[in-house]
Amino acid sequence: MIGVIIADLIKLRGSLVLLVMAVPPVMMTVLGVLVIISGNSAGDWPRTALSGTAIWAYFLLPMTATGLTALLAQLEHSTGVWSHILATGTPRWQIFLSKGLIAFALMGATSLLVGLAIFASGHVGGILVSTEALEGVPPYGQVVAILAKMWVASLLVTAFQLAIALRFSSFALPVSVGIGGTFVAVAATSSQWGLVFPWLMPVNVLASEPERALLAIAIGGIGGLAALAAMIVWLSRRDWD
Amino acid sequence: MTGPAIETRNLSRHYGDLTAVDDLSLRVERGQIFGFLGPNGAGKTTTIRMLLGLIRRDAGSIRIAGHDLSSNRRVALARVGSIVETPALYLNLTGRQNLAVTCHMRGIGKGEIDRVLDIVDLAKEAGRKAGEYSLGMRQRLGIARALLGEPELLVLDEPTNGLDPAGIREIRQLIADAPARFGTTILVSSHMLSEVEQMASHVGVMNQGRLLFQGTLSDLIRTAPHRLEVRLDDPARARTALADNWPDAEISGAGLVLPGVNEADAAAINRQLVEAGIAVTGLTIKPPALEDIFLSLTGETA
Ligand SMILES: Nc1ncnc2c1ncn2[C@@H]1O[C@H](COP(=O)(O)OP(=O)(O)OP(=O)(O)O)[C@@H](O)[C@H]1O
Ligand SMILES: [Mg+2]
Repeated sequence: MIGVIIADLIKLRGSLVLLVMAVPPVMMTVLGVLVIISGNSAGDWPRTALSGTAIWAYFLLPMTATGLTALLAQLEHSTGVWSHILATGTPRWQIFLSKGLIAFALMGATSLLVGLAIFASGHVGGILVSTEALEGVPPYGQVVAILAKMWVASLLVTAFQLAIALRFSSFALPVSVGIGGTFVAVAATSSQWGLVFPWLMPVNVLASEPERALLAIAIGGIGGLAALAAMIVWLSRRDWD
Repeated sequence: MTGPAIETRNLSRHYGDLTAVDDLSLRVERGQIFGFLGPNGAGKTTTIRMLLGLIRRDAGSIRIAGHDLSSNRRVALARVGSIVETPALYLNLTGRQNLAVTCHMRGIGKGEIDRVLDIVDLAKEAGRKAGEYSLGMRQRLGIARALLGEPELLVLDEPTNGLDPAGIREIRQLIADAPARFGTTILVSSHMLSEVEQMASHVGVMNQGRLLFQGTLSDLIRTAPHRLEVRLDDPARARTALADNWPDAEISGAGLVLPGVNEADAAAINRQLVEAGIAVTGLTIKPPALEDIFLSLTGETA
């Protein structure tokens, strides 16, 4: 199993996957700095940092999950190497589990980078235009905790996107589903459906009612692991040609 | 383990109404180079995909080196190297990294990488990205990858597809030498008999999902109808003399050519000509061209 994961990590070299991971933190840093120096920030650290996590949860996180899983799958599809790796006799569940673990880990790493970006933009903005510097203390612990919860809540959408991306050789299909899901999520925020809509789980972490936030973490996290297990069974049983 | 390198029993696979592989019982003994032949769409790749456990079969059983593929997939495939259709590589990785991926997946030591790179003569190019490789280099890297871990069985689906004559010769040489050098058994598919005749010890001929022949090349030639060439002084008169029994005789230069003839026939023809007072100066039984045997087996016209 370790060998399969190492093999999957080698494949990331020189691929676009790492570029996709860099996009959210870079965007959030630039955007964050611009908002602060233009005088449009909330003014204090806690609220500014929190709005940063909201942007991540609403838009950048589901888009990253979409792009990352699609590119991860394309590494195998584009070159048609499924036949080769499946013919090595390596148990299929290991091959697909490894993909899932890597997708989860890369989402976690991107979340960390986003946390760095939130604080970096706050500090840099304050240094560039000192009159707009944020007031109060940077809420390091709180932001890390929120991002961690969002990551857990995002496992479901990540596993779902990965399953579609691996199953179909098309790149456009999972990307369309991901974009569609992200936009529907915005509309579904306040509806009943919003409670269970995979793309909304990370956003629900920010809900003011603690039960709703807890439910999002539970559905996203447990659902994510269940979805991964279902994906492994589903993909292991099909013909690969 | 004992048992032939590959043994399938009554293997079948359907795609909707189409029977891609029909009741196929294939047997490849250890140490053979088995040329797996058939025209486009014959079912070669489908068979190979089943052998490698990539697709399900609708009926039949597969044993590789004595291991049942259904109950013992991992062990059965552990010592099998393969190329299916194209040498699919990670184009963003170097040649060496491509081999490393497979080493990690199969639990093979990295020392193998240099060994196989040398075999296919790619050591100098190993640091370049596979995306920059020519088709011939990709094909060679695919073979190198299949050779990792000293497999007992190599399954190569049209490994010379798209190569120039020099590339074809190079790959063919590699395959021909492999049993002696590495002790491997090889199943190599092709749609041209002429391509495998110089290296294969045995052949299987498939068409429309069925196995029409399997055995040695000389068996294939022996069972096919031969051609008799007769040199004589008056071809036109000879043809008339033979017209009742051998209506297919054709005049060719200073002689006759009779298709579909065996040795007993040749003696009878000679006797008949002499009785008709025609002087026969030479009789030769010619084996059919391999490609003709193949075409007549598979029912395609040249
Ligand atoms: N995934 C599939 N879906 C439907 N039909 C298929 C599929 N794969 C193969 N076939 C059909 O099965 C038959 C055998 O195909 P196969 O690829 O095994 O032939 P082949 O002998 O490898 O031919 P070629 O020399 O062209 O590679 C063909 O008629 C093909 O159209
Ligand atoms: Mg084929």
